[in-house]
Amino acid sequence: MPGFETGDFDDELLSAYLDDELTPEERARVEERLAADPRARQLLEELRSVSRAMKELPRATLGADLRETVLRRAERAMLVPDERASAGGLNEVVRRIPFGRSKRAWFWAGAALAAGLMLMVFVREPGRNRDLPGEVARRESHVSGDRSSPLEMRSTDKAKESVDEIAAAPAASPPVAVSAPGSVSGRADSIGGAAGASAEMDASTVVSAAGEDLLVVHVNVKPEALQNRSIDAVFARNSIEVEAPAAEEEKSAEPSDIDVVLVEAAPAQILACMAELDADRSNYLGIAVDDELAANQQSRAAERPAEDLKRYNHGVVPRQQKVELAPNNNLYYPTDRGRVEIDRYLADENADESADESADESGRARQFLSRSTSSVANQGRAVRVAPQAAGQEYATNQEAAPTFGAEATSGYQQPAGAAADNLRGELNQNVARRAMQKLATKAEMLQVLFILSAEQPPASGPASPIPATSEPATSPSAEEGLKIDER
Amino acid sequence: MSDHASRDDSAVADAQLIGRTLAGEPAAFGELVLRYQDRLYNSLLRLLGSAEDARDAVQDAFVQAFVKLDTFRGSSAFYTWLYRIAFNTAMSHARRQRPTRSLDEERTDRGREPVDMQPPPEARLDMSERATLVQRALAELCAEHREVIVLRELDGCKYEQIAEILELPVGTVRSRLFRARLELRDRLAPIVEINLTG
Repeated sequence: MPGFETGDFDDELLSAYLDDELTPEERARVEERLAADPRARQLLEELRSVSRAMKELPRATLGADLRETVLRRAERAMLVPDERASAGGLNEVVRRIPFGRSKRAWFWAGAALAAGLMLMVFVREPGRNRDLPGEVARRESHVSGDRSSPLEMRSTDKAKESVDEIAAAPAASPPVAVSAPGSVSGRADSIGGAAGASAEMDASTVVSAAGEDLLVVHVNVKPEALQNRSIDAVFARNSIEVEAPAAEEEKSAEPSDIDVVLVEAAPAQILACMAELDADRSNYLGIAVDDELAANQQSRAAERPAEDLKRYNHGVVPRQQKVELAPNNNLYYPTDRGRVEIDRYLADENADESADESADESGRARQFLSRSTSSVANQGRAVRVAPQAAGQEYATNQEAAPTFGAEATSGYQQPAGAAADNLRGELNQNVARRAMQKLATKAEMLQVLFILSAEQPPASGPASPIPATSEPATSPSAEEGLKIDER
Repeated sequence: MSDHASRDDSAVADAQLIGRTLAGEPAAFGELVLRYQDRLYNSLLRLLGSAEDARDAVQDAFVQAFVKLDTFRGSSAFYTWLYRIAFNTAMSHARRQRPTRSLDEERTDRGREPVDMQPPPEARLDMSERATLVQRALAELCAEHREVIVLRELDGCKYEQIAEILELPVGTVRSRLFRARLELRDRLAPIVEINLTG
């Protein structure tokens, strides 16, 4: 039998033996030792007992789902270098952004570029679209210096079915500045050409997205919060990033008393945003959810996300305009400072093919647009749609407007001919437009238009309750300006 | 972690979730959070001795993991990588926060009843009392010993994984573990004796 000396045996081996972390040779040595040495057996049992006592500790659980908190903090950490650093001195990762931000930045860059490219095409070849199939006939842009004069109403029977009235449109096309990047001309006549040429994006490529849910949330915001765009932080905390093209940032340098953000996100994200707005009553004085627009649309689905959102209604919301649905299925929101128009369109899946066929620049732009959006992840996003001040009238992205092919799948009979041209004329007005590309996962997404206003409610008597959403639009701009009734 | 087959499955699933996160889908990272939050919390609770600190540390760890996710090379398991972040952060945070105070003092300050140094007679040691005693003994270990004990006994990590998480040689892990156990044996003498005699 080998020697029994304690000096040549490391008791540490017993601990590792317990953990089955020994080489075969070591194991053999330990087992030999255990067989011969009661003190080693004793120690092994003690160690085993300690190990057992540790393992008997109850398993603690958090009792909470950390996902939301973690993701919110993580996104903030990605956005704020300080927080990132404080999360562990990770300055070296400041540049690394695995959030898909860059992709979405590419999307908007792509959208802006596409707009610019298309505008250039249309400006250069104003008459070309007449020959295109599926075009909407274009008329000469109706130009008038009188802002309040009603736009001449011309309408085909077909258009009459969907457009009961187009009246009191501010028909003026004063000199406009084109904000689309890459544009080569800001003159009104060029814009007129561009608008007409939007017919080039035929219905097979761009389909109007009418008939989808769109909820409108009116929020009364403290002026500071409005200027700080504090709602962006609310969105960010809920994984909704507000993207705004740089060009627009420059334009909106002037303080505004209204902020309009179109958000596309999962219902849960929207609800979380609403809950935050509702909770922060020092900044968000009032909330009113308006689903009239959605309710009025045909083929309303049974889903009523508005009911969920409406529980956050509170406070006083300033005199609000109705968001109206234009015959082209775009949305209008009249403000004192101008009109906001939001057009929603979705790129057809065949966009790539059709773009391949047409070698023109708009085709390439479409292709680029389509490509840059195809990889956008299923995440909330938002786009700020700033109203334009009266002195800064300009038109953007005219060419990105959806066209109104009869095959469009909306509930609307599409206007055509002169009525559509009227509409196009109007689109030349002081309208800020942004396109919201629909995601592949659009069915799970909800579109909500957040209209934030710092306007104080009328100081008459006690705070009035949330105005009924059916109140007619009463703003001067709506009265003097365009009024398009939805059906 | 001891089951190789499920570990492989889990590694594949983790890798997929990581890939989706890096492709711009934060929700996929949420799945990773859900997958590991309780396990990590349990370990950090035993390591730090405070539920509040543990909860904060878990969050910090996940946030950091998210931020530096693209540095994760996949050579080790995500879980190991996450633990390295978590333990590093937790321990450096603990050192920064209260460099001269022990976890025990901290616990007492928070108004909990200090445990009697002399354990009660064995007959009165029910499970929760035993747990209290064990947790206390654990808290009295130095941080280096506590780390290896937690990783080995509570998480069932192999020595190699512990070495990776703590960035130590395997030999150091083995010797620390042994010394930590000896220390615990002395502190838990009544329990240990119960087991030996009973």
